[in-house]
Amino acid sequence: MKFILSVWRQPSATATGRLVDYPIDGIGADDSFLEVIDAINENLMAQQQEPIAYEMDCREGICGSCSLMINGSAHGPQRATTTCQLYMREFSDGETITVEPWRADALPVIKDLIVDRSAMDRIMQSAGYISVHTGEAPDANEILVSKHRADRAFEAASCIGCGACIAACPNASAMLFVAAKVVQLALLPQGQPERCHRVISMVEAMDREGFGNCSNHYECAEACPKSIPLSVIAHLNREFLQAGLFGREFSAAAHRVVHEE
Amino acid sequence: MSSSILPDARVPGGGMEQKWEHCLDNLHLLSPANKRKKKIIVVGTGLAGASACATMAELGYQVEAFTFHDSPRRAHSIAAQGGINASKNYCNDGDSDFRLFMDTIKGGDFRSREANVYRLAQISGSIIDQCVAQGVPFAREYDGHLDNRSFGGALVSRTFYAKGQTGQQLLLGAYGAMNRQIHLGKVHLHTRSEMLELVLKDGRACGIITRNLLTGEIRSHSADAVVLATGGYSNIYHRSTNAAGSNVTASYRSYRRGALFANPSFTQIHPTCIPVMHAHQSKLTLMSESLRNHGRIWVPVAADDQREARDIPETERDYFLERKYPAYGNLSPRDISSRAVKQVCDEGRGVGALKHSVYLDLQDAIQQHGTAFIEQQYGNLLDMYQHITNVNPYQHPLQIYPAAHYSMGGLWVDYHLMSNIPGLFVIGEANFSDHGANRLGASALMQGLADGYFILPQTIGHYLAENAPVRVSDHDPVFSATVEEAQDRISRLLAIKGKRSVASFHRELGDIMWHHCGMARNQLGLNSAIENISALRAQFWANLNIVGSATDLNQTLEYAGRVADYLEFAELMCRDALAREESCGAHYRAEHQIQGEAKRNDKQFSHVAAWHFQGDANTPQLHKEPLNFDCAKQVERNYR
Amino acid sequence: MNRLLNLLNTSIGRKLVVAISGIFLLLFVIGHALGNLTIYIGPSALNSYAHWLQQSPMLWLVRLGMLAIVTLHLWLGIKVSLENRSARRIAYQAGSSLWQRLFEQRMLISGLIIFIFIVAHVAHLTLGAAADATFYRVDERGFVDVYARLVTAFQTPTIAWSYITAMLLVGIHLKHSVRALFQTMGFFHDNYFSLFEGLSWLIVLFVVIGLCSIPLAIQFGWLNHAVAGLSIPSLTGPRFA
Repeated sequence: MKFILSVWRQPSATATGRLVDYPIDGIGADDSFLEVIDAINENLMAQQQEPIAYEMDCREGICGSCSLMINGSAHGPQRATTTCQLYMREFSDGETITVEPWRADALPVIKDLIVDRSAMDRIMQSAGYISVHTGEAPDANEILVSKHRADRAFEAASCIGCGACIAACPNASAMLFVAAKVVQLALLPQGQPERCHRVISMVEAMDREGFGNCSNHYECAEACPKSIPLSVIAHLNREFLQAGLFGREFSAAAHRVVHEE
Repeated sequence: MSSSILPDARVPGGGMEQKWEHCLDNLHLLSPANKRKKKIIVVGTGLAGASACATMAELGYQVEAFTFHDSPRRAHSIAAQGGINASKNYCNDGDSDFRLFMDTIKGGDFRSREANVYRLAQISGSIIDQCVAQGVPFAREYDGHLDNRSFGGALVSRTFYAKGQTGQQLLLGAYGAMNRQIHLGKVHLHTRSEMLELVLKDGRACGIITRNLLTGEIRSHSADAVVLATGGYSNIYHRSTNAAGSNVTASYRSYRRGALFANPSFTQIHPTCIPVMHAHQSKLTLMSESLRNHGRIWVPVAADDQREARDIPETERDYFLERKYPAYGNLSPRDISSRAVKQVCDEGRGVGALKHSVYLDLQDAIQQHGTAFIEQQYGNLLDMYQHITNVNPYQHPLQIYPAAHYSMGGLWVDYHLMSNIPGLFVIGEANFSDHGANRLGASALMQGLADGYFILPQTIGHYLAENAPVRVSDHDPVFSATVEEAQDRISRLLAIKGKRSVASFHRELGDIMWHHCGMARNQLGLNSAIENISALRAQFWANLNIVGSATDLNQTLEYAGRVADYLEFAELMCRDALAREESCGAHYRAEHQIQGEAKRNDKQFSHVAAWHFQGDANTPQLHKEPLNFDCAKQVERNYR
Repeated sequence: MNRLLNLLNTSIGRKLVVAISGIFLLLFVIGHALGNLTIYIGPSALNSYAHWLQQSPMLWLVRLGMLAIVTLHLWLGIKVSLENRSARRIAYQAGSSLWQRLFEQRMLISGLIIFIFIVAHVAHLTLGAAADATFYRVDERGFVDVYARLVTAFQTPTIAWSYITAMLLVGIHLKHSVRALFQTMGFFHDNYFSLFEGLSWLIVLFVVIGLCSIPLAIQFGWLNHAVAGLSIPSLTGPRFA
């Protein structure tokens, strides 16, 4: 098969970028999309040109490193698939394929197709966990969780932090990402003590990073390679409303408590 | 260098059950106020690294964490699928610490340190407690209790799991625990920072040199102790189940500074991976061993059978694992299963276009339990298989073949997980200690977390209290000298300006290693490999092509540095394989076998082979730590 | 109170205000449609309804309340939309056609047009800007003859069609709102997706068909008979001669 990859090239965060066409031939239907970029890169380097910078690591759809907007779809045309598990059989021979980085002001481009996703880590750092010191835990079977709940928590927990939801959202909102963690922990008995604190802190952290607001376009769940359901966003809204109305106070007070420990 | 470079392993006295307790009771302690003054560097933020960062920060230490990824959540621990062992005996099937210990020792073919393995089994239960408390959504029964399944090399069900994403869930748990400490300001996280060198002063580890992967800035970081949690090196085979970024650099650079590298040739080839299907393929994806709970492995009886799998009648199928190892059957350990697969393929009975895979068939299980059950158990794995191969595994058997997966070998550590260099600790896959010559399924997660949550945070305090080293300033001349060396190496790489790509060298190295230092090894092959590697290394330094600069994000340069280390380390692997004139676990020397089964030589090789770097011009020196088995009797490994 | 303000200052809080104000607006629109549909019963029914409204002591309270709610809804809607735009200042090159971008911005666009329509609508039929004699007519009971007012107005094709267009935009706005409302308020669940989807279509169709039917009916002369019976002078134009 042959293709033309029209790839976003941007030498640095501050430089202006543009799409550059790279024709490539001799591709098999079972080649992965990233192997095609690798092939283009080998050609480029042979001509002493800088290869296309892009991120990937595990190549089995779990580390969340890969992050390409392919023909305007996050992770490409196949549903519930990361870019690293996308195969060329999904494209038609001779097709021109546009490849762009995630676009969101909160996830700025570093180089070519690489974006800075540290904003997502900062949200997680704000409260995306259950506070338990090593050694404090009771016996694992003392905490019973119904199978239904455990399965739903797992479903939310399967987020790989790739950012496709943000990339696909017309508003660059991070609600699906945040909701997945909030819901996972809100569903479990272990997550109850910090439930209110967690949702408010995480939403505040999300707001600080400059993500857009959810306006219910539902593109996020469509793009999610792990098929995290939309309902987690509603669940997040519910958690937030409950916490805001009946839960603890907002950030200023919360931080004070933590530091007094 | 003195000849007694191998220090005492500091295994405490007393009965096996009491050793860890004894160790803890006799550790020197630091007061909370003094802990706050100590700074610890942790390189690598996977399961072992993240859990260690979190726990040490909880104890009050200042922790500096380094990862070359953009986030700790990308570490390759995330890809572990099947599960984590613990001797909880929740299934009431007779499990105990002793049995887990015995299975692990036997699985490792009696080439691991007994006391370390016993401790691992003792701690295993606390790991599950800790992870559940963190909100790791393990699989549950309808009554709300935790579910277990069985894994290779065990006759009990002791594996806790979260679908086929156990590693992900455990890593995210540790990531959360670390995030909490980052938020509290006790862990300082350096992302996109790759460790290039270990810095020593007066024989002690006092810091590291890193390169900022975005700006190319080379920086010194000093600390009171350095912890390596940098994972394994199976990526040396080029096509492996490891992530593209997995590398040996941190361990290997430390080896060059004097750290002993133990059993480098012990690499695990995992039996159930999606085989190579075309030439450009860059990755071999693992299909969890858990599939062997319900999948049956077979090939046609006749070589060159052209029929489709389902057209081959039962009588013309060879369920070779069940035939050869009736007691463990499809759940035989990884090394044994992999070799059996290789054997039938070598006999010409392999299936698939390239004739080098075997069937893993779920049809019987589907008929017995229904599609819904299989989907519930393995849905995400089977979806992944279908994504990659475009074949529906509910209708056709999966095709699998072994692939490089894990490295049991690693830097030598004592019972405290400290290397022979004072102040350098090594945890997780990066050390050698617990898996011997072969790792059992669901043991890697257990070991990484045991090291990170429960062992290192205790033992490191002993070093800091006992030695009270004065922290070396990062302006000390040892730092600037090491920075210069690191910078010089980068300049040399960029100055080659040759024609061949880094990937082409990596591919070629991978081929050499796979054929001569892979599933089966022999003297002739290993010797030729050493020659070939050395020739390839020379070519690398003469004809490598790197485009771009050192002061910018340059992925080719990063890759080149890692492959350069692989090119040197590969030789060490071969030397180790050559020196070990026996077959044990995953290390299979064709010269030492009885009808295709590994023939161990306990008289001469019941030891850890620890290699000491002697400069580029000399062959490394071999030190042997004898392995004594007081508790587990060294018997022939029999899974029949 | 401080706590509530903090809550409302977050992204989700703001959307909650948009949603809650939207609920009032939605109820208002449904009520308005129900009331207006009395036109099909006859002039006296509509006029009685209008009279009841005007007599109500709550009238001004409701009017002021609605003014506040519309302002809040509009202000936060614009604010949220602007924030969303600035969250992605560099657009994707591939895959977003003009129609797609318009579709993504449909709430802002339809919302702004609807606001302009509301101003015009209130000026036109409530305040009587550019009113003629019919506007001030009373029926035989002495009630304001809203029936005549409407029929007269919708005789003019441009007015009728612009009302119909505005109602279609209200439909587009509501279609998104009703489902989004459940999501934002936290009631959404995958199991009830089709239920909420169905409910939102039901509300939208009722409001759009109900409100569009009046100018349409007048345009096509289906309500002429009743109007002719009142022998309104202005209806003796050429078309009805």
